[in-house]
Amino acid sequence: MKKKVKLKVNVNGDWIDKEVDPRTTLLDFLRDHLGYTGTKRGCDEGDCGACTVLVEGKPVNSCLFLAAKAHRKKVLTIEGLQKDGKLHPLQEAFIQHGAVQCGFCTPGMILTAKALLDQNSHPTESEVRKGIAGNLCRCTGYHQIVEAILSLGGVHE
Amino acid sequence: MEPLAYFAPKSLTQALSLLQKHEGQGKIVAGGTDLIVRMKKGLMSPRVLIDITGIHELRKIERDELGGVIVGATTCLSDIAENPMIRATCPMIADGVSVIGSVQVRNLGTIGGNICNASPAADSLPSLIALGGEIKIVSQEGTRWHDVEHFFVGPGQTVLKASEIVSEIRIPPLSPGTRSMYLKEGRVVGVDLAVVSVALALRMKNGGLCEHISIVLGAVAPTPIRVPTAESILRGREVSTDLIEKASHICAEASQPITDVRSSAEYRRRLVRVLVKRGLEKLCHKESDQG
Amino acid sequence: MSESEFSIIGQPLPSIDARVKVTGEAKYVEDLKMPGMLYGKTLRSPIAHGRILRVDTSKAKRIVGVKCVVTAKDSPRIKYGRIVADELILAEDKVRFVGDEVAAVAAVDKDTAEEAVAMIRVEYEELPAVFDPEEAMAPGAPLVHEAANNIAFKIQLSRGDVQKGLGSADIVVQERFEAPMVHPAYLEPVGCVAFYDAYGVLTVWLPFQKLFPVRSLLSRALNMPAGKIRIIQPMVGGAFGGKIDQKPPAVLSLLALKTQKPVQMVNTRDEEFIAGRGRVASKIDLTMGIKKDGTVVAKRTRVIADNGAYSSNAPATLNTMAIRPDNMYRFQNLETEAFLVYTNKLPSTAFRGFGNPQMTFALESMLDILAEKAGMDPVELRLKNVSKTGDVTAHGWKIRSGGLQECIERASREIGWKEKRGKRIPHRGLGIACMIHVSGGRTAGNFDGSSAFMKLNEDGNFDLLIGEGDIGQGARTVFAQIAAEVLHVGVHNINISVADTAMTPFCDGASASRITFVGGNAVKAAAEAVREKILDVAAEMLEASKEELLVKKGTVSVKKSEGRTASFVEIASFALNRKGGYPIMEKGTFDADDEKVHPQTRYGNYSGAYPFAAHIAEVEVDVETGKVNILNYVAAHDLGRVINPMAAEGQVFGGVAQGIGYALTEEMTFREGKITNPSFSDYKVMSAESMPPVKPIFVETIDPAGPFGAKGLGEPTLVPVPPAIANAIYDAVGVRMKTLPMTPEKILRGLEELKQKS
Repeated sequence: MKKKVKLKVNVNGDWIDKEVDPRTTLLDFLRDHLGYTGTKRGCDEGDCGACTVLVEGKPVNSCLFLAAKAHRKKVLTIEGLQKDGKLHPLQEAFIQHGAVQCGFCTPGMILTAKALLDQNSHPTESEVRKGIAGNLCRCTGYHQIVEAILSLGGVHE
Repeated sequence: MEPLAYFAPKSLTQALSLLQKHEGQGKIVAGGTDLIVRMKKGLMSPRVLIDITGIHELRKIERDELGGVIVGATTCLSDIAENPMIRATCPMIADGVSVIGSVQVRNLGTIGGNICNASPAADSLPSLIALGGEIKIVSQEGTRWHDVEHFFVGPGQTVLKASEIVSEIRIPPLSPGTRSMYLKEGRVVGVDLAVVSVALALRMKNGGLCEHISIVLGAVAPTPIRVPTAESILRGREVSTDLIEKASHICAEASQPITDVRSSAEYRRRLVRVLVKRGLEKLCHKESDQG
Repeated sequence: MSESEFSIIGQPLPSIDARVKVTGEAKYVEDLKMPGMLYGKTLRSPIAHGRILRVDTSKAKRIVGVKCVVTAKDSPRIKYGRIVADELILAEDKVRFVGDEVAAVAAVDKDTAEEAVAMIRVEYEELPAVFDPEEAMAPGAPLVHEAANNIAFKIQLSRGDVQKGLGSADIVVQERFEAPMVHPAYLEPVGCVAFYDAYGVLTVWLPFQKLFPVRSLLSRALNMPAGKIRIIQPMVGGAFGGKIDQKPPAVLSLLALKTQKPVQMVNTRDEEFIAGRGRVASKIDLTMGIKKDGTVVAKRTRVIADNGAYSSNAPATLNTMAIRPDNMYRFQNLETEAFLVYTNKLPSTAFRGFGNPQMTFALESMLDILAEKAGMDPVELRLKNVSKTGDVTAHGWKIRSGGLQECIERASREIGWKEKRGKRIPHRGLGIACMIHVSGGRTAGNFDGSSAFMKLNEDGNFDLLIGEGDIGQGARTVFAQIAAEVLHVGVHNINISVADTAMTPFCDGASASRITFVGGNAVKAAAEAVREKILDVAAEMLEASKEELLVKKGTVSVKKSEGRTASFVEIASFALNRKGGYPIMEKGTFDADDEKVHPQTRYGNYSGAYPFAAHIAEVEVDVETGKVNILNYVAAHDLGRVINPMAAEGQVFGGVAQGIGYALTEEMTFREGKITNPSFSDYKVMSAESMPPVKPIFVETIDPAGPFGAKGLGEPTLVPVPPAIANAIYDAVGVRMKTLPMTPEKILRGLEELKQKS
C-alpha cells in the first residue's frame, strides 16, 4: 500500500494539486502526471542535464528532485517559456544561431541559459560555458549554443 | 517495491522525533543528489525519508560573534559558492564548493549532504579541514561539536549516529594574511569527480617565513587527509622552492590512492605532488592578500 | 563561395524543425502516449558466456499488471542480422555477452515491468569466455558461435605488388595502432513504441536512421511480410550511426504481437552502455614504405577488429577500415587482411565514420612517422601523395571532385603552419590529418538511391514525401532548401512529411553520409518533375511554349509579356478542375552513378561522390600532468557545395567534439566482459567547458553528381580528429601515441620512456 504525499505546486504559472508517491521525481511528475513532455530524460541520474527545469528560478536536475520537495514552489518548464505564442528571446536566439540540431538537450539547455542570464545579464564566454557545463549536447559541439546565449548581452572575451 | 514514507518536518525537534520514531528505517535527506541516485540504482532502499530542507534555521550563512562563519547544513552549494561574505572571508570554501558537479547539482545539493555523504573525493571537505572547520551535531540528547578533520572514518562513513543530524558548520575566523587555494584535477576540464584534490592554506610573516600552513588532500585516501608531516617541514621556515618540492613529495608518499575506473594509483600520487607543488608556488607569489 | 547564383542554396537558414524543439513541442518516442499503452522491460544475461538451461517465468507472469512475458520460444527463432545472420531476438541456447537479451515483460507500468523482470529465474551453465579478439582467434579459444577461430567476417585484398613496393622503398616502418570501443552516446536513449493492430499491421514508432532496412530485418526476424510492418520515425534525439541496428525494436515487436496493445520500451542510460552497441574496437598493424621524396610505395595492413557477440553492423565497418582511407592518396601497392572476431562482449556496430576513423588514425599517424624519417614536412608529404580530381584510385574509386589539396593548403594557412613551426614554443605542437569519405555507397542489394514524391496543394504550398528522415543533422531543412530553390518558393512553402514506410517511398535512410547527396538528388528530381508539370500546365493556361515561361516566387509568367502570369494556386486549380483533371504530383528517383564492388576483390567505384577533409590541431601538453590542451583547431572540408553554412558548421563543431572525445577521453572499459563505466559520470563526453575554439573552412569543388554540387559532411567531421591530435602531441613533446584514448597517464608514460632513452 503506497503512501502518497500531498503536493501543491505551481507549474508554468498554474497551481496544481495532486497526490504523489514519494518516490516520484519531479521529472516523472511533469512528464507522466502533467503531460509536460518537453522536459527530457537523458540519463535519469543527474549527469546530462536534459531534464533541467527551473525551481524558484534555479536550474535543477528534475530527475534527482523528489516531486514532494516541490511543494509550494514555482516550477518553470520549457513549455512555460513562451508567452501567448511569442517566443522568449533565448528561444529565438537558439533558432537563429543554429544552436538546435536533434533538440533533445535543447529544453534543458535553454532553461539553464535563462537562469544564467537572469542572474548575470552580461556573462563572459567562460561564464556561459561554466554555466551550461551540466547540460550535455552530443550534436552541436556547443559553439552555436554559446553564441546564441552571448548574443543576448554576453561579453566575448 | 517497498512503500516509502516521506516527511518534511518544519523544525529540528520534529525531525529528531521522526528519526527516533522510525528508528533504523529513517534516512535524512536534504538535496537528494546522492541519495536519489543510490535509490534508483537499488543501492539503498530506505523506508522513510525525512526531508530537512524545510527547516528554516538550517539554511543560513552568517557571521558569529567571534568573527567565524556559520553555514547551516541545508544551505545549498550554489548559495555558498556565490556568497560574498564567504568569498571575502574564507574563499577556499567557495572554491571547493563551486566545483562540485554542475550548477544544477549545486542548486540542489547542500553542504550538510556533501559532508554526510562522506565521499573521499567530496570537494567541500578538504577546504573545511584545512580551515579547521567544526560540525554541530544535534540529537535528542543535546548538541555536540566535532571537528571536520576527524568526522570521517572511511568512504561514505562518518562518526554520525543514526539518531543525530548535522545542523551547521562553523568555520573559525582566518587570521589576516592567510592565502588559500583549492585545486582539483578531474579527468576532463569541467564537471567531473576529483581524481585528486588539494586544499592549501598558507600564512607568511614578513620576510617569507611560514607562520601557518595547512595541507589537505582529497580523493587519495579512504577519507580526506591532512598531511602534518609536510606541514611541519614548512612551518616556521622560509618557504623555498626546495622545501616546496620536499613537501610535495611527502604529500605524495602520504597519500594512499587506489586504482579505479577514473585513474590509477600511480597517476594520482603523481598529481598530488604536482598540485601541491604548483599550489604552494602560487600561494607564495600571489600579489593580493585576503582577509 | 557561391553567392547570388542561388537564392536559397547557400543560405544559413535556421532549421525548419528548430521551433518545435525550442518550445518543447517536438515529440520524441518516449513522449508518445497511447490509450492502454503498456511498458516493456528486458531481462539481460548477467554472465558473459553460458548455456541457458532453464527459464522460469511463472512467478513473473503472476504479478498483477503483467500482461505478457516472452522468451525465445515465443518468437520464430529465425537468425537474422544486418550482414551476417547470427542473432536471435531473444537468446535461446546460449547467452554470449553480459547484457544479452533473454526475456522481456510487458506490464501496465514501468515499476511493475521491472519487478516482473526481477522475478524471472534463469539457470545458466557458465562457459569460459573470451574478451580479447586476438585471444579469440587463437586455437583453443572458447567459441562464441560456431565460426572457426571466432572469425565473423574476413576481408582480403591486394592491389599492385606490395612486396615489390616495399623492396623499392627507402624507408619502411611498421607499427601497431589500437582504438577502443566508444559509444555514440546520443542524448536520447534508444526506445520504441509498437502496436499490432486488428488489420494485422505491426506499427513501430522508431527513432532510427534507416527505416526500410530495419523493416526488412524485423520482417525476417518476426517471419512477417515487410509490407505488414510499418515503421514511423518520430523526432530523433541523435543517432550518429548507433541507431541503425539495435535490439529493442525486435524485442518490443514480440511484446506488441503477443499483447496486441501499444507497448513502449526505452533504454535506461546504463542499458545504453551495457547493451547499446558501440564502435568497433580495432588493432591495426601497418607496414608502410616511402621513397626519400615522400612518395608512398607500399602499404600492408592487418586488422583485427572486435566484433563483440553478434555481428550487427560491424562487417560494414570492417569493409570501411580495409578500403576507405587508402583512396585519399595515390597509393598503388596495397595488401590488406582484415578479421572481424567474435568476443563475449556487447555487439559492436557503426558509429560516425564506421571504420574510417580507426584506419585513418593508423594511416595518418603513420604518415607523420614516415615524414619525420624522411626529414619532410608532414604537409608536404601529404601533398606529394594526394588524390586529385580525375583520379581513379587503386580501389577503383572515381574522384570526380577532389578538393583534398585545397583543404590541406587552406587549413595550413589558417592555423599558421609554416610560421608556428618556424617559431617553436616548448611543449606546443601542430598536427595535420586528412580523410576521405563517401556520400552513400552501393551496399544494400544493388541500389544506392532514394526517391521522393512531391505534390502541389491548392494553396500553392508543396508536400514533400520522403522516407530518409532526419536524425537531428538537419536533413529536412536541406531537402526543403533544395526543393524551394528548384521551385522558386520559400522553405516555408515546402511541408516535409514524417518518414513512414507506409507513406514515403523506399530509401536507405541515414548512413554513409548519403542524405544530402542521394536524398537531396531525389528531392531535386521530384521538385524538377513537379516544376516541369507546372510549366506544362502553365503553358496550356498562358498559351505559350514552355521555353517562353519563367518561374518566379510562386508564379509562372511569360517572358517579355508582363500581364500574362499564373500563380501556382491558379495552375493547381486549372490542372484539377476540368474533365480529365488531376492533382499536380510527381515523383523523383535517383540512383547514384557508382557500382557494386566485386564480391572478392572489392574493386569498384563504391560511391557517387567522395568528400575530403584536412584537420589541423594545435596543442599544448602539460608535461607534469600529461594533460593535453587544444589551443586551436581548424577543420577544412571539401563538401562539394555548402547548402546551408549554419548547419554545415554545426556538423563540424559536433563531429570535432566527438572526435576529441574519441581522441582523449572516451573509452568503454570492461572487466571480464562487464562494462565498468556505464554512465556519463564515468564515460566522459565533451562538455561546453572542455571544447577548444574550432574554425570550420569549406572548400567547394562543385561535384558534378551532387545536388547543386553537394557531397556528404555528417561523418567526415569526426574522422581525422584523433590523428590530428596525435600528430600534434608528437610535434609538441615527441611522444608518439598509438592507442586511443590518449590519456594523461599514457602521455606521461611516453615522456618517461623518452627520458630513459636519452
